[in-house]
Amino acid sequence: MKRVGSSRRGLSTIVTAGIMLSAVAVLGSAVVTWSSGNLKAYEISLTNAAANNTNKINENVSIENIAFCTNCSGANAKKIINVTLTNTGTTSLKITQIQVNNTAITQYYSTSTSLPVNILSQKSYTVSAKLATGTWNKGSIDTITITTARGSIYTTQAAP
Amino acid sequence: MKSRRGLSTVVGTVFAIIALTTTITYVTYSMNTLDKYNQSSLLKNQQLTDISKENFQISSVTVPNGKFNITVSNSGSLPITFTKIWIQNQTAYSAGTDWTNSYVPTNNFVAPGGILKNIGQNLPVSINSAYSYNVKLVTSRGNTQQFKVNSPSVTPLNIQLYSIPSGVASGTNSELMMIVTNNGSSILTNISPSSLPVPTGSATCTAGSVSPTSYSTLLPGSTAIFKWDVIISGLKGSSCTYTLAKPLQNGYSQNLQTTITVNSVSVSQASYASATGTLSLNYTSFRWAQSGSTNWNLGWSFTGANPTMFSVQVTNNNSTGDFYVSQYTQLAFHKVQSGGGGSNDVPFFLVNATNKLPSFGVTAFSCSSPNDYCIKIPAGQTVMLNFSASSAQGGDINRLGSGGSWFNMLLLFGKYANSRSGSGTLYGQDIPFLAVQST
Repeated sequence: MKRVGSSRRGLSTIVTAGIMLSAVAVLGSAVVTWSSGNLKAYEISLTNAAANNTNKINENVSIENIAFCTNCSGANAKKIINVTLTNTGTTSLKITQIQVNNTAITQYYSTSTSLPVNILSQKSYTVSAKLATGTWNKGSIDTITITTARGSIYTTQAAP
Repeated sequence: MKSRRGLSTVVGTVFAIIALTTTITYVTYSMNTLDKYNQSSLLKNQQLTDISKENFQISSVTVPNGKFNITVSNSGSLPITFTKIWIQNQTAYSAGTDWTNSYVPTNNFVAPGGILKNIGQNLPVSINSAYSYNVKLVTSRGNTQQFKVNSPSVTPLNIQLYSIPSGVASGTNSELMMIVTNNGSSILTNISPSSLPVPTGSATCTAGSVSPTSYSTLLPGSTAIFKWDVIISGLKGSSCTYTLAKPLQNGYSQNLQTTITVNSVSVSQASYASATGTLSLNYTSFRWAQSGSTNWNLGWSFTGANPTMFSVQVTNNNSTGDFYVSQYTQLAFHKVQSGGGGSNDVPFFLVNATNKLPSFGVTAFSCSSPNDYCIKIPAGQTVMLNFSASSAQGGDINRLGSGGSWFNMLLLFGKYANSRSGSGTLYGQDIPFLAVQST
């Protein structure tokens, strides 16, 4: 006997609603988790890139003085160039390489004047670069190039 | 029928809100990060701009009591702090001894437009004034400026010695000129010429004092000029030769030589004026005016009883020195009397200016202190001089007073100097002038 004026939801409707709810919950959670992870990765990447670039543009090195050692004798005769560097930027920096006439220096007068080295802001450091081949010559212009860990390059010229 | 929103829609909306919030947070974070980067970029740009704006000049360097006394002027628009001073003993360095040290100056701040003195007075280093030093000042922004002290002894400079003119008449002046050019890359300090040696040759040459005695600094590419006035006397063809083995005090040994020769004076119609003196007249420029004249008149005849003003053009043949005309400069008229015994000298002194209209008058020769040498004849140029006063610096218009024939001299007094008030070299010259007939 059929009831008149009474509406009852069928079982299939309830099951369907449950399935829909589950699907929305599962898919929504998956999408939120995925996008959140992606955004986090982008955020970390952006943070690193911004920090590196900010530090790079904030670093500044002054090649303050270049002295060609005249009383260095023996194997060091006319091979040592003392380069005084001053960190005039606002962050500490690391000098990784010095080049003389486009040749990277790998030998130094002493370990206390060698590279790589960290230089704090407003501090100076003297690198005693030793030429691997040849000597410096009076009146001849030498090109000095230094490179920092962040990739900044500074160049100057000097003559004995 | 009752309408109800599905639960899944609500859940979906919650997820959407979460996703939106996450995205907005990320975008906001990104914008903040980019803003910080932008601020750093602007800061770096400002620092680079400041570095380029920083500008200072070495005004002077002396070595009193074995210490440097460096004066620096801040010609930029930013305050400057000197953080370090490097000193290299160039003399020792050239001899093979490495002597390079850096010091932190105690008085190290100079405001824009200011002058910082006594840099180096408190440094723990003793300076030998006989040695050459390479000095470098370093600022907190990393700018440096290097200069050399007593360095002429280390490297040869571009120095030339000339005599101008190289041939002059006996008893007249020539000029020795030493031109020193800083052909190095550093500022030179304390440039002074050596004393002139006794010249060789058959002519007699007497040199005056050098001017200027020294240059405190000489920038790279700049030139310093030292001058000596030399009076030569002797027979035609005789000469004197100056040889400098060490042109500059504490300087590098390099031979410089120049010769001044006595020439005869040849006088022709074309060259008479310039050959007869340092100052010369343009005879065709002679003009006169009397009361009632609206223009200057040419010719040699006018009424002696009338007040008369004269105008002549005088050329300064000295190509390097300005001539300042003294108040005593005058046109002197001497009347030739029949029966001999000339007399009746009538002077017409210099005036500043003349007027013919609307009133016939003159402006007395006068100027600010010192009230003399009011008119300048620049080197190598010609200036019109006006004469009328009966006395020096008078404001009247004199007259010859009577008729007759007159021979005339222009008595020029003045000085060669750098300025109207400067001491300079006094100079006077008589120049014969046109004959005049008064009626």
